[in-house]
Amino acid sequence: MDTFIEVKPSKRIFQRNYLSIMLWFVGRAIQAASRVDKQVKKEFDSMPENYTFSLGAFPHGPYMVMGKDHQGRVKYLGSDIEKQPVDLEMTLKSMAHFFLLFTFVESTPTANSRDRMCVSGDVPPACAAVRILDIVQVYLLPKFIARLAIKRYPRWSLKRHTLDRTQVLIRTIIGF
Amino acid sequence: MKATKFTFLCRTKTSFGKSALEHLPFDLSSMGAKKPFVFQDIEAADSNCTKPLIEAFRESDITLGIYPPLDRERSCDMETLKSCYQLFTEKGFDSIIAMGGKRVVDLAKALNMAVSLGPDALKISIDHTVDPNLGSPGLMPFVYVPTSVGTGRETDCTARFNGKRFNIPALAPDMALIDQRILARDTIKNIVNGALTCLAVSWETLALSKNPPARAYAATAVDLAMDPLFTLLNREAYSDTASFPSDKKDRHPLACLVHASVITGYLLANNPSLMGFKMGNAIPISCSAAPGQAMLIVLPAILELFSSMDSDLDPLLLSLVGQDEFCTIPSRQRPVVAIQTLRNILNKLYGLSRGAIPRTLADAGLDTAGVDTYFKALCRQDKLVETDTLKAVLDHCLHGQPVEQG
Repeated sequence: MDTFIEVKPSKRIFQRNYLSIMLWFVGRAIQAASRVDKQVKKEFDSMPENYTFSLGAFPHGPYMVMGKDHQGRVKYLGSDIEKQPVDLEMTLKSMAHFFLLFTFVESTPTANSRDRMCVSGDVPPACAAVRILDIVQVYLLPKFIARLAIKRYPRWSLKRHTLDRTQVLIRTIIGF
Repeated sequence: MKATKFTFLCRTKTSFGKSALEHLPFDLSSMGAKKPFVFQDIEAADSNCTKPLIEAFRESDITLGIYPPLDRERSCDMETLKSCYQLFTEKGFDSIIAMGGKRVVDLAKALNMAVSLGPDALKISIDHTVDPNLGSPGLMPFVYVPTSVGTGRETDCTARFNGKRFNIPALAPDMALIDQRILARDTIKNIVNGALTCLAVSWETLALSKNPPARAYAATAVDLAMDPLFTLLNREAYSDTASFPSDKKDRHPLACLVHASVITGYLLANNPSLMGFKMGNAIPISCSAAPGQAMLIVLPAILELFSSMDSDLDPLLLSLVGQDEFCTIPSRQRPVVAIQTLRNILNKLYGLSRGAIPRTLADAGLDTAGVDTYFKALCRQDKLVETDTLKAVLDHCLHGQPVEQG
């Protein structure tokens, strides 16, 4: 390289598509879990009415936006962060970091300790959102993968592991 | 030693570890930068260090402007600076990334001054210690990405350009980023000498500084540098032909040494009067010792002559021998043991390098006449230390004779 060059940033198409699919799936799973799992419902109850939070990568996403309406119903609001005001933004500092998180190379606490995540909003709902994500990952993933994604695999009842999990998976697929 | 009054300023954010490079677009954006100008030296270019950098900026909003690699001849001259200045201002760059060693960093700092304060800023030497009214001017965001072990001067607040010296706090990089993927291959000799500079500065700070944050940084640097240095010398022959790292496993120890070297800059910025560092850098041409080696040679004598006055060598000994052994040594013996341990390390280095790293100034090729020349050069440079003390340090370093023995 003997001359001055300007390098425009290129796209990570595979990573963007993978993360978009994962976020779509996780978003619908959170919606489903809020109707099936008591602990997830309790976490959402602690959030104010019409509260929205997002999870995404800096600077252009992909994002997942979750919202709680005035009746306390939780809904996956899609991937467009511009559509509605967001009360809590949880942002990974780059898409590469987000990819590490969602390919379970790094768990959420590890990513946090390595300063990969920044939060714009109140801390208690952010902690609640992370706890909700952890529960949903346990529902969605087989044990050997979920152990990589969360700090400690929980000791749940048989009903929660079987019946509740089946309900969450079915509701995630049909979007109800 | 109780700290009653101290100031510590480290305006550089250090980023180290797995995927550290991917933090850079976010950190630059948070500093308001959208278009960084990238400098690299020929060693960084040979190791293809721009590839992981470009990769880290994918999916960001940031366009990189990469300047051709700077070789030894064209790195620090006015012509290069003029061409960089023209490109920088014409194409609307707003920040600087320097990848490489001291020469690249000096040029990057000079360009930062020229584009932020105007080209006239480079016409006179600036020293904030001489002109306290100068304040700290705002410069553009500047990120330093070391590719090998440096001299420590890269991360301090000084720059040398075109025969002039500039010393203002804003010249220190805003961020130093150490990532294993972006390390260039370097000779064992350069790596070891850089590590020795780091250790000498850190040990001197631990022993003589009354600045608690500086001592904490120094202890961290010693922790980072000690094990990788001795592992490297045990494994590889000390020479200027063998290169390191040879495989991926070697990258972590090298990254630790590079990190230690970055911390050395923070220590130098906060301890401008380290005597061992000054003496090491003033080493005459007739002497075969590198600056880092010379700093280590003079350090035991400096500690013997200065520590008796008002210093406490416990932190130094603790970092040298570890907690378990430290606890077994009676407090009255600790100063003597600390200095003896330093001499033992010098002797060990001499053995590991098969005589290439000198233990004394005599080993480095100096005789009594050479020491006199060295003494005169030091007297011209530093007027803060009494000449008798300076002479005593040199006399004891000539043959490595402890001060207690006369």
